Amino acid sequence: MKISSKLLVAGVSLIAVALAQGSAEAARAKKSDDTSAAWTPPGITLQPLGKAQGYDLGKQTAAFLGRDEIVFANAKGMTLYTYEMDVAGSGKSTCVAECAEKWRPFLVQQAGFKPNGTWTVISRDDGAKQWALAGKPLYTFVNDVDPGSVHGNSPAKTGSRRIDGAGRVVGGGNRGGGVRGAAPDVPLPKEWKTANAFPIAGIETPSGIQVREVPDATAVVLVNHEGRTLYAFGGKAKDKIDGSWNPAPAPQFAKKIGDFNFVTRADGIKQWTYKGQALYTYEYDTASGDAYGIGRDAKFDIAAVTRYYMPAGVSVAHTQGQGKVLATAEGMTLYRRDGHILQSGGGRSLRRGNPPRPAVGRDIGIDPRCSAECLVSWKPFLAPADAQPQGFWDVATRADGQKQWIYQGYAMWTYGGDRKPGDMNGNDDFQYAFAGQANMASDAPMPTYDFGTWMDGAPAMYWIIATP
Amino acid sequence: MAVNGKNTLAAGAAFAAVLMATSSAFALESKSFVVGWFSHATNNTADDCGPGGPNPTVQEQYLKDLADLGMSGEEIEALIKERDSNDEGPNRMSEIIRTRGRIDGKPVNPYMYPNSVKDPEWKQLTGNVAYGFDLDNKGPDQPGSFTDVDTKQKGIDHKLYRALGCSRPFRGSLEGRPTYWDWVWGQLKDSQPAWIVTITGEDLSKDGEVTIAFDRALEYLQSNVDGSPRADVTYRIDPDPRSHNEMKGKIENGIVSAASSADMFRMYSNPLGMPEFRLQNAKFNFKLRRDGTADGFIGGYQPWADLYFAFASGGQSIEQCIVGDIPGLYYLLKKNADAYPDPKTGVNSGISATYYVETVPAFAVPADDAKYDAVASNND
Repeated sequence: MKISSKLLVAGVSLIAVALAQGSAEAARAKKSDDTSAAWTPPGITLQPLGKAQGYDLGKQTAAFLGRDEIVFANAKGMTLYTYEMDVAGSGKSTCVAECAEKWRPFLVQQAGFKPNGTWTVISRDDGAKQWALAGKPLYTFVNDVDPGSVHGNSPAKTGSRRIDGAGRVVGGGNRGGGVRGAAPDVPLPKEWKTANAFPIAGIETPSGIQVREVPDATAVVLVNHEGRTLYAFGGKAKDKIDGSWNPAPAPQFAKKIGDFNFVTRADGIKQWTYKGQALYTYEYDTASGDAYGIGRDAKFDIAAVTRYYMPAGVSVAHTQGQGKVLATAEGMTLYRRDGHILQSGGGRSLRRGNPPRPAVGRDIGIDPRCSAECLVSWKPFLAPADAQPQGFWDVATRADGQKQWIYQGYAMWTYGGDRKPGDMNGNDDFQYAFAGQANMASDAPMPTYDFGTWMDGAPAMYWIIATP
Repeated sequence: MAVNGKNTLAAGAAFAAVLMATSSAFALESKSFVVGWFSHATNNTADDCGPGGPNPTVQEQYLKDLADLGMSGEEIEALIKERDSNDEGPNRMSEIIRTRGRIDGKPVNPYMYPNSVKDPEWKQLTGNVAYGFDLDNKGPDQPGSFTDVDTKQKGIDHKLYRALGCSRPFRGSLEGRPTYWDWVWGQLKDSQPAWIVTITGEDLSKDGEVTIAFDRALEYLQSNVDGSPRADVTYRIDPDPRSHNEMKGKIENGIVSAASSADMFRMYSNPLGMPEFRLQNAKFNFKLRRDGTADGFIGGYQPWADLYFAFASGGQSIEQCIVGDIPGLYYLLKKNADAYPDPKTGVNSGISATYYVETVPAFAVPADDAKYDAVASNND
């Protein structure tokens, strides 16, 4: 019994630590509002391009796919473009008449918008207000029908057989290669450019420091030459720093570059600073993309260049083995409902091994195709009545008028079987959707594209943790 | 803490139940193992499918399917010629095959609606020797049961082996591994969370009572450069309660045997193999080897839908390359299901099954320390 008592204490301590960590990260999410709003004001969303959308896995596993390119998009996830003929800062759009029928001006939908950093508004000749990025007017393309499309070429056409945004049955090829004989992509005309959110242009960094998206940090951050996440020290000079934090060394002949400078430590070693704060790595970040230092010490914060927009009421929680997950303000894990896709190599169990496919998430919508028994445990993660699409977040309206948060195309849910922050006891919970199963109302034919099934296999619906 | 190759169970929430159940005035000893091979237990011989040998290849079956759809020999020949002469363009034969199911006369996906395809009435195993357990305790006279290869016990229930035993990808022995499992395990071992077996008792070198725990690790199996499982690696136990299983059992002459009193033995897995490895009335039999490894069998009644999904989720690609005619497998599984009838339909939902497991020694620790979080990140 003595052993049992100790275990009980240990268990309670673990819960306390987890709760404390969840709270710390929730507080951090609130703190991020200033930079995240500048990156994506309300009504502006983000979409990864290319393989990172998860449709075309081929023989790769999703865990190895980096989001090398992210574009700004409208509220429906449609890519935004700039036009070479438009002069930055002129306040004018040169794409009018026939041009504007194909390349539609991206108009401000919300009244009362105020210029926000690089985001401004121009007036068109007809008086309409058009968004501009760094002074360049923004457009959508008329043939873009799926999130992540570029010049009408949808990445989702290489994925599951489905009905696309234009009502056509597309996809269903093998190994993510699209249907054999399908028409090749139509190149983007050279005078048009996608409005890229990442890579971020115009940031000057010293040799050995790079700017990289670190989803676990919900931010675009500074990393060192090994790709290790950098943290900014916000404490006082006399504060004691434990051995988990290692100074980011600058070379002997380091020079001030942009927002980067250096300090000389007591031992003579030079250390990089960013915007006046000394930079460190965290000892237990052992791989590129780790961000375990978040929430460990209030004196340290991620060295963020910009941050994702995170709605109030959303936090990021730490899990065992799967890195960070999106969570409620209380730290309870958020999930999405998705169709199973076959992965050669079987990488779905790895961290970030289940790629979100925004177009499929949109197809599934807020109906999880869940039996009555299943719906007892799974609850929609509701958004405030005035919630707006922003960053990776979108909003859906439920039948009862309530709003539900959408992340990267997928409705967000909580699971009743999770008891404490970091639990993910609903992850990988599944229901088959082939003939004779409980959630198949009958053996009447059902189109497989209802389920986001890659290729032509027997479908199943999965609950999957929502990773940033 | 590791002592001479033995794991002393560290305190932690994941192990609380084990310790509470087995704590006494004596110190407990435990040994952990990581699963390095997993397949259903097979013992095929050359003549165990009767005259004509095993079932046809998938390509042979496709020709029969086309004929069943009412196509003439000339039409089928024309389809084959078109397929063979056109590597890049649309392939009519593939399209017909992957919509060869019929409901109300309309083509449907045969993997989603396997019962919409005519039963090819594939052979099942005629042999009567297998590895396994007497799961239903009905003894030696039960029709269709086997005699155990090693113990010669009669009344062994392993209908999964009977169902799949004449389908080529599933034929093999403990040494000559079935193609299907070689493929699945090869795909999954480097990414699926490892499975850990922990045996706990007062003195594992002597006969006595033990507790066997099955857990899922946060890390996947670590391998040597030749692909064999690496011994003595430390794994963190996943705290997810769904992946923790315990059985009460005993060691007798170096053999650990146990039976589960829980409703269901369950281990979340990868849908490429099966979404969840779950067994009712689970039994376990393990030999502890002198070199520190252990191997043996775990059996029970398994929902055959899990197996069907594993075969069918890859659609035509996996059908052609790996498993063979998927509707044929559906009918074999359904016909051989021998337990847990559905209360509404009366159709048996469970099939008796025995799996063969090989393990190497490992260390298991609770997953509650920040420094181990960092280790996990290397799995990316």
